[in-house]
Amino acid sequence: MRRTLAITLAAAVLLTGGCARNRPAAGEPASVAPAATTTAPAAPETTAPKPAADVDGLLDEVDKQLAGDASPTEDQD
Amino acid sequence: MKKLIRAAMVATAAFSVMVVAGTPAHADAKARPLTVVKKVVTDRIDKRLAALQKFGTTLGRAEKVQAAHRATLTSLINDQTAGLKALRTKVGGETTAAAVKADAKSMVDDFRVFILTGPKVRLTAAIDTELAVATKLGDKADPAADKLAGQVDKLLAIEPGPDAGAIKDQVKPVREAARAARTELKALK
Repeated sequence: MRRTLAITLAAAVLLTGGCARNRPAAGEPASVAPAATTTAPAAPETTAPKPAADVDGLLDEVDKQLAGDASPTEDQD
Repeated sequence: MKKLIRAAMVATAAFSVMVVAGTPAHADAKARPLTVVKKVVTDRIDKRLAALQKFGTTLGRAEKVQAAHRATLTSLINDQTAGLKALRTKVGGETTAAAVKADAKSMVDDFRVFILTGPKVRLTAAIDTELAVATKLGDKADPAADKLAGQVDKLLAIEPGPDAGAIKDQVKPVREAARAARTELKALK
């Protein structure tokens, strides 16, 4: 009986300890990973110039347009 | 017993020859039920409608397309979409294989979605973008810009029709001009 109780208690401690691993400690900031992935691309969009705004960007666009033009047709026409 | 087996084998072989010889290879295609033929043509129309939608997206993303060219292409895409939708409905109501066949011919000859509308959208986008690059590069890019002058108008003036070869021959020099300009502009930057 005592042994069963001890095992149960040990399991409970391990379980609660394991579950709390992702919880931030007091004073520690919460995990910022998801926020970083959603906010990171927004910054360059507002601060950096648009890719198509310079010659290189425009020539990249031309490359894509001409590459699309070279692809085979989807049906006999 | 041996005679009987031999006779049965001969009869089987003869029957096989009769069946194979009597059935033309294309009989399956000819005897296809009207519903099947209609579905095949409808599917091909749907492919063209999907392609037109894609061309609309391509045009929308191409920021440097000149306003007049954009208007012409938008109108072309809208007209062809409406025309193909009407043709789709027409195919659904056909009662003979001959009528469906005529619709299939119209689907190709009257629209030329893949060999003409697609290149019109893509090459116009490319050439107008190249002209924008030439403007940014200044005087040194004038020769490249001169070679592109009028190419889009020439391209947009090509009409669909039954002669696919003639259409491809008209598109080809415009495509070549666009490719040559890209090389020239890349060398200048």
